[in-house]
Formats: sequence, C-alpha cells, structure tokens
Amino acid sequence: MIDDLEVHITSLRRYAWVLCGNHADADDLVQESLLKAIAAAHTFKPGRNLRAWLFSILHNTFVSQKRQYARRARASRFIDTALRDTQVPANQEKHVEAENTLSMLSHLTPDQQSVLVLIAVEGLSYAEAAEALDIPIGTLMSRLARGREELRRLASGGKPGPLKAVK
Amino acid sequence: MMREDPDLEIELHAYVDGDLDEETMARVEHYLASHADAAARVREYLQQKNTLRRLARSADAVQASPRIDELKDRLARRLRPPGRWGWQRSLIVAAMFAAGWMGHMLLQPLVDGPGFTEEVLQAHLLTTVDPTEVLPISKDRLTRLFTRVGAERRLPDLASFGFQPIGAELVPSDEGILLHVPYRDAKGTTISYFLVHDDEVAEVPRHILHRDGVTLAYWQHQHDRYAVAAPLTDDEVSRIVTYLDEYDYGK
Repeated sequence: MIDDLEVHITSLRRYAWVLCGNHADADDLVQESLLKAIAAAHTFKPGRNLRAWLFSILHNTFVSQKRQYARRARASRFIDTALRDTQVPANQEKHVEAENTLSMLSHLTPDQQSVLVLIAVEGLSYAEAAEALDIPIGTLMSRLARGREELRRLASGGKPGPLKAVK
Repeated sequence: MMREDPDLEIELHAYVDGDLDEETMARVEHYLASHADAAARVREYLQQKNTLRRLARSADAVQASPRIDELKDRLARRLRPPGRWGWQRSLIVAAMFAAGWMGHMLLQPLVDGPGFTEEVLQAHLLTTVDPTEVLPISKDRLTRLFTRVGAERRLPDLASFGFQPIGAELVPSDEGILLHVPYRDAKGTTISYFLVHDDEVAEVPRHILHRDGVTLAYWQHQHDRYAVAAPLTDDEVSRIVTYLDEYDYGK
C-alpha cells in the first residue's frame, strides 16, 4: 500500500495541476495536502483506500480555498492567453489545446471539476471517487453528468438536447 | 415531446467510464445503435475524456519538486507500521514481565496521538527499565544536544517537584530528532521531558494520553513541540506542564 505512495502522489499532482491550471498553485496545493496527511497519518486505518484518502484531503484543501485558487488560475490563464501571440511554444497545437481544455474546465464548478478529473484522468471507479469526495454515488454521477454536459456545451458552443429513453 | 430519462443519462456516463455490467452495456449499445444523436453525444464524452487524460498525462503536468519528494518520504514514514522499535520493545516487555507488569499492553500502539508520541512513550519506558541507556549530562553536552534540535536554551529545573535530571539523549522520530531528558526523584519515579523542532509554526494546546500507567502530555508553541511522560496522575502532570509552559528558558 505505502509502496504505491509515489504513484498516488503523481496522480495527486496531475489532479492539482488540472484544478489549479498552473504549477506553482498545484505544488502549493499538493504540499499543503501532504502536510495535512502527515499530521493526520495516525488517523489512517490499515485497510482503508490510501488513494481515496489522499484525494479526499487534497479535494477538501482545494475546496476550502477554491476562490483563491480560482482567481489565481484565471489570472494565470489570462496572462498565458494574452502572451500567446508573443511566444512560440515548442508544440503550438498541443499548447493551445491544453490551454483551451483547461480554460473550459475552469468554467465548471469545483465540484464538477473534481469529479471529472478523478474519473476521466485518474481512472477512479465511481465508488472510489465518491469515497474521496465524501459524497453519495448518486451525487457523484449527477455532478459528472452536469460537468460533462457543460464541457460539451462549451466545446460546441451550442446547447445540448435532451436524451431519450432506452426502454 | 421526448422524455428525459435520468437513468439513461447515468448509464451513458457509466458506459463511457466502463462502470457497467455486461448486460447493461449490451442494452446501452443496442440503444446507441439506433439513436445517432445519443451516439454522437457519447462519442463527444469519450473524446473529452481522452483530451483530459492526454492533457494531464503530458510531460508538462508534473515537474520535479524536492519539497514534495521530502513530504512524500515523511508521509511514508508516518504511514509505515512501527518496526524500528522492535528490539527495544522486546527489551521493555521482557523487563516488564520480569517486574510483574502487564508487558503485553506495550505492544498496543498509542493510536490516539500523533506519530511522535509513540517514540516518546517508547523512549520513556526504555529509560524507566534501563537508565544506562541515557548518558550523563554536562553543560557542554546539553548545549550541543539542544543545538541539534534547533533550540538554544537551558534545561528546565524541576527541583521544586523533587526531580533531578539523570541524563540526556537524542531519539530519532518520524518528525525529527527528539531531545529526551529523563528526571528522577528520591522515590525512583522517572519523568521524561521531550523537545522536538517542527518545520511548521503551530500552536497545539495541551493533550493528555494514557497507556499502561503512563500519562503522556504533548503541546506545541511556534516551532517547538514538547512532550512529558510520567507515571503520574493527570493533575500532577498538568502542574508540571503548566510550570514548563511558564518556564524561563533563557540561557
């Protein structure tokens, strides 16, 4: 379990980077979360899901300071966009795609962002993500659906239509 | 008018995330085969997921950070089941049995306290059983030991409680090096004083824990984390802690 800590922390850093949109804030968020995990290590019960526990700490840290992180992420993205024409990134196409994706993601609520990233990027199961976020699976699925739909709407620029029943 | 179906919505997302059983998956695929609009939407969800995954897994997402590596190592040490104290525990348990104590109780972790309280308790018990573990103190040595834990100060004087220092040692812990100074009174009662430097500034009020006849108090001011362990009552330990709290540590 502890042998997987390095892998889990890499996942945490990816998650934080997508949420914050820049390395400085992402590293701050991960460091703060790890300090909290160290302080609370004595409460971690053997047999509990370590990955979900770590994501839960990071998520709560992010949510408790979401306004601050959101403002800094917005400023960071604005500056990147404003300077885009004056810089020549190594891989322009990928750079722009990354910026666009992060920008669209930033329009979602932090709760929707968290669910999307945990499931889409880190591959957590619904049950595992619900444990990490300390919410019922139904709430998780509802946030996931709303987040994806909003992202789709932003990407296409149009409003999605309602889905029809299978049965 | 077409009806929205929340169950279908959930199933389509679970389909994208591979969270459906075979039967439901087949039913969703059967539906998608005859509903191009829903299939197009699922394709967009999949593309969205792939884009996010590719973005987060790009080389840009995670850069080297010595500070995070250091925290990772600290966390790993804190989460690892105690093992370093194995031989000391064996010694303590053997000695406790010899003395007629309930030695087996010592094998139970001190689950309610932060990690370093386990080291504090073991160091105190080891000193109780075998005082030769700590070396005699001299002014120079004490100064050196205090410097090792990042504090320039003099040793607290507990003479008013009837205790005299009998030695000093440095104890490794997951949260840094602990300075341990045991004191003893005329009746042979041992009380242990601990000091550890914390990288983070914090104010932690006094907490008291118990195990097997030992009362353990810990607290923190700024960078200094303190602990006292003794076979005394809560009131007796609290009086000593209050005294230490107000003690003038100036050199």
